[in-house]
Amino acid sequence: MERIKKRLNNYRVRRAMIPLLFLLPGVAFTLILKYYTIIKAVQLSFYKYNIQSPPGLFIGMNNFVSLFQDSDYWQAWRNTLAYLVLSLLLTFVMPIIQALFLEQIVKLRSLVSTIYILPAVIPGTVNIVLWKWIWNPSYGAANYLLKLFGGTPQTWMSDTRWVKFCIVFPGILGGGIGVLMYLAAIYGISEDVKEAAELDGCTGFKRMIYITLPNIRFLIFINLVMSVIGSMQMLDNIFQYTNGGPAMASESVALYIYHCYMTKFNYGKGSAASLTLMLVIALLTFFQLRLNEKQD
Amino acid sequence: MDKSEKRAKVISYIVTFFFLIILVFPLFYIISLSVQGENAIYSYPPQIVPPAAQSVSIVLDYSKEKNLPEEKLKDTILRDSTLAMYSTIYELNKDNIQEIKVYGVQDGKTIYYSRAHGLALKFQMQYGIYYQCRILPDVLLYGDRYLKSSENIGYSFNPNGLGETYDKSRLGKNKFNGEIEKYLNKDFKTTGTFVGTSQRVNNLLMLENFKYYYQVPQVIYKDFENIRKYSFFAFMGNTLLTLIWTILCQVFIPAITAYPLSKLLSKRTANYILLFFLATMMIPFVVIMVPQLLLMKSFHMFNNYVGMLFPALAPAPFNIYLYKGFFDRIPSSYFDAARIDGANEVFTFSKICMPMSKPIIILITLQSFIWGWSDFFWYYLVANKPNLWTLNVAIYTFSQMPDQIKQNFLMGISLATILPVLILTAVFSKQIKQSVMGAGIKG
Repeated sequence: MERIKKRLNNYRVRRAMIPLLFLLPGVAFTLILKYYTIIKAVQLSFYKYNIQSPPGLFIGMNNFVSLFQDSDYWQAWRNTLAYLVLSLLLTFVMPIIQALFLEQIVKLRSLVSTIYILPAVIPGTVNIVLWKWIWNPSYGAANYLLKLFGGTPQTWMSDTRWVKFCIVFPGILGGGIGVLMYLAAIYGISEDVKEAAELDGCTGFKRMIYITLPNIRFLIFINLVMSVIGSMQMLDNIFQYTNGGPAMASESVALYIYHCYMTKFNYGKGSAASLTLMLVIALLTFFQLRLNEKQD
Repeated sequence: MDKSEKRAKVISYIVTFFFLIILVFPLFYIISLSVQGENAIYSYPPQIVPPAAQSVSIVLDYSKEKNLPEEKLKDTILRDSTLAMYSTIYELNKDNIQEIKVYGVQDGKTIYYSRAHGLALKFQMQYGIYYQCRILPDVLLYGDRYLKSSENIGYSFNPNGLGETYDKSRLGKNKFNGEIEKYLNKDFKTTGTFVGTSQRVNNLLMLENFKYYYQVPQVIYKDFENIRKYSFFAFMGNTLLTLIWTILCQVFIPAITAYPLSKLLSKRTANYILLFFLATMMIPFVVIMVPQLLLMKSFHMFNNYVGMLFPALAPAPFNIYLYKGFFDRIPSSYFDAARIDGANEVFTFSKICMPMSKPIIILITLQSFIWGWSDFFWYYLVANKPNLWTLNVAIYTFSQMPDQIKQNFLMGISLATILPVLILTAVFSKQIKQSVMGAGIKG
């Protein structure tokens, strides 16, 4: 009797262990790489970090106080909001428009959609190096084209007014995969809806706006949330394009944080700034999700 | 088809065509820049389509120097040849000259022949014998520089005559002739008598650019063995390593994490655990960047492959979410049947669950590829030794040194590395489209 019970226990334990074993790698690496690091970031934000004897001096909320008094920090926020608006206009809306028009194409559709995936093959850095050349005031194609159409040449990336546009604009090209996803969603709209619309005389552009768009609302919403999160934390491409210049005109909050860490070696201030950024992104995402729930 | 439908169609074709041009333009421009000579990339208006590659032959006569001993004659011709080549590249920098041939003749027979690609000469000027030299006769001929330069470029000399001949009838009939004659008789005075030049268009010379692109990293980073051996393919190797590792991790770890969430645990527990993962989606990379770097440094994972690869182990929450959603749709009866037959969970996962999840695996592979292919920042932070650079880090670093590295080289190595991927994408475009579109319908 005793032995049978023990066996059963053993079996139960083993059954309970199996899911844990499956979960172990994912949970462990997430704990180490995500949760530990975020706790570390919170800890750093309360210290005046000392590289020789970490973590250094505890200074309470002083990092946050000095952060909020830093005019560069607020400039970075203004830039980030400008990036958000620009990205929404250029890189979020464009794929939807492209997909709406692409759906109308019948001839050569396969070839055209293949061309849409090709730009995804160009790695980000290559794209950036190319576009830096295109924006080059003396040798670049941008000024050449502008002159061709009678415009006055610009200094583009060295111009505080243009620099954000120059950074966001090439993103239009990366949207190829997104376009195909929208296209698939459009194809997925049921034939009944389409036919009913046609019978009611809803064709052409009217159909695009009143039938197609509302029916792919869900995908549009997901992409909206993603591109808001993405453009709030823009770092890689700004760093590679201008590293924040000229005169802070292109510095986003994420890049400001990077500079706090890596050029000023002020780890405390960097962590404090990064936590505020995370808070804002979380709030924005939460707000969007709630809004969507209400609408549905 | 009614009127409004027709109008929408026509406008759609026009707009799509316009977008296609914008989409294809960067790819085209990369190719175009990579085959241009250095003079062409710095010309205005910018050369969108690469200009024709010119090949110039210069003929010098040494009949007057017949009495010179052979060694002396050779030395004289090498000096002249060096002068003629570098002066032409320097003086005719407005024209797209990508090849210069020098013929030395004596009594009608060719006794000297040397041929240099335009970039071979630029290579000597940027990294070689004439590094940071001004192109002046005294500088070009200083010490034994001209001997080394000729040695590097290659030449053939034989006082009894060589096989290489030039087309006498075309001599002097080109737009460069007058100018070349002027500076070879004045500023860059040669000992041999100037006979004439001939010019030809040879667009294959553009492809020869790549030979010199291959040599550039080898010269700049000669202290690093793998770059000396494989040039920019070393960066390609690092990129491949990180890419394959990222894809493997992101396909496998989220799958084993999602499996118990979907099939083994109660719904309530599973949702809590899922939340544990999804919460990390909110964390921007920049927040954990430095703590992660400090962590790596404290475990000696800085400046080595372990540090580069380790962060990929954390499963992307969105992938877990995708897998869970997919597994949920596989009927539990499959698993129950296998369990009754005595199969353990590892078996049901690897032999039933995964094979049925091919579409989602392909989608996650694609996504991880696109993401990893452009990933830059972590590798830039954690590895600052050139032998560890991925392609993106290498190209970024190269682009920060415009004095040494020119745009045609940058685009050249970029093209060399994206070309295989481009071909693969074109070949598998149908499958890729299917997978992406499948995700679009479900999403």
